[in-house]
Amino acid sequence: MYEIVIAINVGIFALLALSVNIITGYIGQPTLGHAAFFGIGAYASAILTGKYGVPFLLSLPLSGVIAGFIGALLGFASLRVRDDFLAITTIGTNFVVVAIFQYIPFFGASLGLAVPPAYIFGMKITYLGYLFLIISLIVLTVLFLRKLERSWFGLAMGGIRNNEVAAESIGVDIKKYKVIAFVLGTTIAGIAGCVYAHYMTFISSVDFAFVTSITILSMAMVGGSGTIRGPIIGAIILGLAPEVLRFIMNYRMLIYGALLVFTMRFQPEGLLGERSFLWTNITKLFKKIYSKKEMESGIEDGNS
Amino acid sequence: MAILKVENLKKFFGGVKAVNGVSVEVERGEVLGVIGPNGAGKTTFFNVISGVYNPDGGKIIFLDKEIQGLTSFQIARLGIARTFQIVKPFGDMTVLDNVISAIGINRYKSIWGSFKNSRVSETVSKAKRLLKMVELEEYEKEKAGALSLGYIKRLEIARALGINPKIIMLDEPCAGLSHDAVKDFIQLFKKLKIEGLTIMMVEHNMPIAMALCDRMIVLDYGEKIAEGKPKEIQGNEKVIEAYLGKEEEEDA
Amino acid sequence: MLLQQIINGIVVGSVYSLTAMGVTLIYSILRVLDIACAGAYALGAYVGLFSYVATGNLVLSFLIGMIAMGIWGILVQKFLYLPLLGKSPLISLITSIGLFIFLGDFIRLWAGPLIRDFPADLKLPFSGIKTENLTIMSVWILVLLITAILLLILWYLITKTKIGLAWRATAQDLETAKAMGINVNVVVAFNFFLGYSFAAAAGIMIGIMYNYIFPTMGDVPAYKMLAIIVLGGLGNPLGAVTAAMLIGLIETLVGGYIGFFLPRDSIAFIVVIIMLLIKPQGLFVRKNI
Repeated sequence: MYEIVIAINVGIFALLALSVNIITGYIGQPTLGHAAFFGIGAYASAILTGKYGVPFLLSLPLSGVIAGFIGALLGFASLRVRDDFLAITTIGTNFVVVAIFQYIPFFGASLGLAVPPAYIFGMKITYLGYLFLIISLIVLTVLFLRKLERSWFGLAMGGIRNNEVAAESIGVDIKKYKVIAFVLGTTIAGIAGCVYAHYMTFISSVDFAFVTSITILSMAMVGGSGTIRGPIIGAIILGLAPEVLRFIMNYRMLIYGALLVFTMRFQPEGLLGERSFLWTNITKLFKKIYSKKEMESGIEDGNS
Repeated sequence: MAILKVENLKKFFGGVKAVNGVSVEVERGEVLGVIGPNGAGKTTFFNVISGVYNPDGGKIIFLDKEIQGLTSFQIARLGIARTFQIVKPFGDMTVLDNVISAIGINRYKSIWGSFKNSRVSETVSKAKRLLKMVELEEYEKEKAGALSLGYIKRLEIARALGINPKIIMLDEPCAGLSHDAVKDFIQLFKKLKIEGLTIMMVEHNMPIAMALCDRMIVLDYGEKIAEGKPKEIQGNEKVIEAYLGKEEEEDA
Repeated sequence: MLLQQIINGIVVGSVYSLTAMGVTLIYSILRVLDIACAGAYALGAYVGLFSYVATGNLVLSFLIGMIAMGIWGILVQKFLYLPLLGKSPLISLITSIGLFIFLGDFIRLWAGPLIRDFPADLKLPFSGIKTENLTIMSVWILVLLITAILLLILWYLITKTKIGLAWRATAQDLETAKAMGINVNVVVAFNFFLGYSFAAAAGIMIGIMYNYIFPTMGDVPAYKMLAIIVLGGLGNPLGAVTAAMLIGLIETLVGGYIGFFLPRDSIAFIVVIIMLLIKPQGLFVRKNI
């Protein structure tokens, strides 16, 4: 049972890491306050189901829409405010959103918010159910991202990420794509928030602070920025680390900090990034195995 | 028949009149050179036409449509392509993807449409054809950022051609290139002319400019001081003075 | 009452300006938002405290703390930030955050998680002012004095010395400065030495003012300094000082006068967001000193 809870947590953060990666890894905009949208989704869903009796299955996409709407605002802000200024604006957004949750009574203020248990078709969702739900959401997101990577949208994002002026010179409407990227990333974060709120049955502003934003971002970057495998691996590594390192619990943050420093310093593209040590060797290994198989079947054909 | 008409174009940066009332007509199929001493405003001129900057005055008429004030992506969609003096490759993408991304120019208009698969055989083969034309086909899987400068410049040309332009603006295509790379560029340029493209070219390398252009305009301090065939420009006193004057400045 | 608040605000602003100066200097040279600078702030406070306990000499403790953190700064830039130059800013940002987390935990493990008292019986050569309307504690005067001295030294170094000239060139364009023969490595090392030592001084001053330090004391400054340097125009030292004073005053006045319903520490960010929406380049555009 305990393992299921951990898996759900890792799953939620994997979804979050995948979502932030759309904004940072794909279209190259610094966003350091992503947990704000995680929180907006969580609180929105808690209020929808808790105060207005909206069924869970409906509050799931609705939380995404609400988070995505605020995300669009940030997207528009990103058109006006660039690079380092944007980075700090996103941090500020995180702080302001958390402060709003912390101080305004409608959101439960410092006492937090209790969330009613979620029901699908009259049945209460169990932990196993949540695990299944989050895995499904991850699978859907991965399928979506694969389509994105291969599409013109993906190329447009790549252009913007590399050089905006050049991207415009081949007909890419930078503004439109930036806003949409923000909307996509924040909507998914909002949906993750809905799952989180209902499985935890209690949320408070502390859960969505700047620290959480850094956790989400570092999962995406340590795993492999701009890839699909990266954020998932990053979430697994950084999400499981506290459990695996339980015996050196006391040094957890020390190791976490050191991990961030060393990964960024020596493998800035992420542990499984395109040109990382691990990925190039893994792909080399696979190519070797594959070509060996081809050779072997070739020899067989030649003999027969 | 003029494909592009520039009328009294102006661009100021604070007190600096980078482009100050330049007019020129570009005929379909010709190669127009834009030359002038350092700081004459040549790249700014290109930047205004391609929409990177908004003009402070004047008109730009492309295929009978006024395009001044349009964004650069709108202008690209109308059929004006360009390369950049300081190269701007999509560095972390493959060489092939750099060109494919340009071929999709019309796909970027609709968000929904842009979700379609970009690697369809039609676009891939077109991209490979362009790479073959600029002789980069063996590098198609390399990351653009890893290429040397000369190759990146060729890639930029392939990318610019990917949008199927009616006019292509080359900004200092030979800058920073080795002697051999310049020779390669001349070969490529001949291929471009065969395609019948209209070409505008900013080029600092005088022999190249003189050899490749049908006509030239000379800019100095943002103003057009001469226009005509290369032979005429060569002997033009104002032009010589403008370049010599700059040399003296630089020596001082 | 208002005058009291203003004086309070200026004192708070002074400490902010030293810490913000650290981050600004680093940004000017390397275009890196160094959150780990706040780690030097906290660690410097601890080194200062232990030095004071060991030596009983306040000036010496300041010097030890500042020099220790200055040297740490030189190491950090050499092994971390210089190699990461030219990569995406997100990478150095995550690196600095990782380093900051590491330092915070290091302090906790080394000196214990509880707060440590800074001895209150400082013998200062001057006393405070106490009238019926106004209280200016002696430590505040110390803070203002030290801040003024350090900033003056910085101003002198940057504007009047040869290395200051090299600094200004490097801040404008690192590659060109290198090409012109400037030993950029020395300039960057010097820059980090100054920045981190200033942060250490600020940390020690906070310890003296409030009489205690704790391992996470750098948390709030880490993020607040980002807001402040953006307000002051990224990379603009004069702007950073001005913005720091401004925020110090606003926080004190707004917190003291109006019962503000959002936490004090958010004020800096709210100001910055409003400002950025109106003027996306910052209040003071990056000056070339």
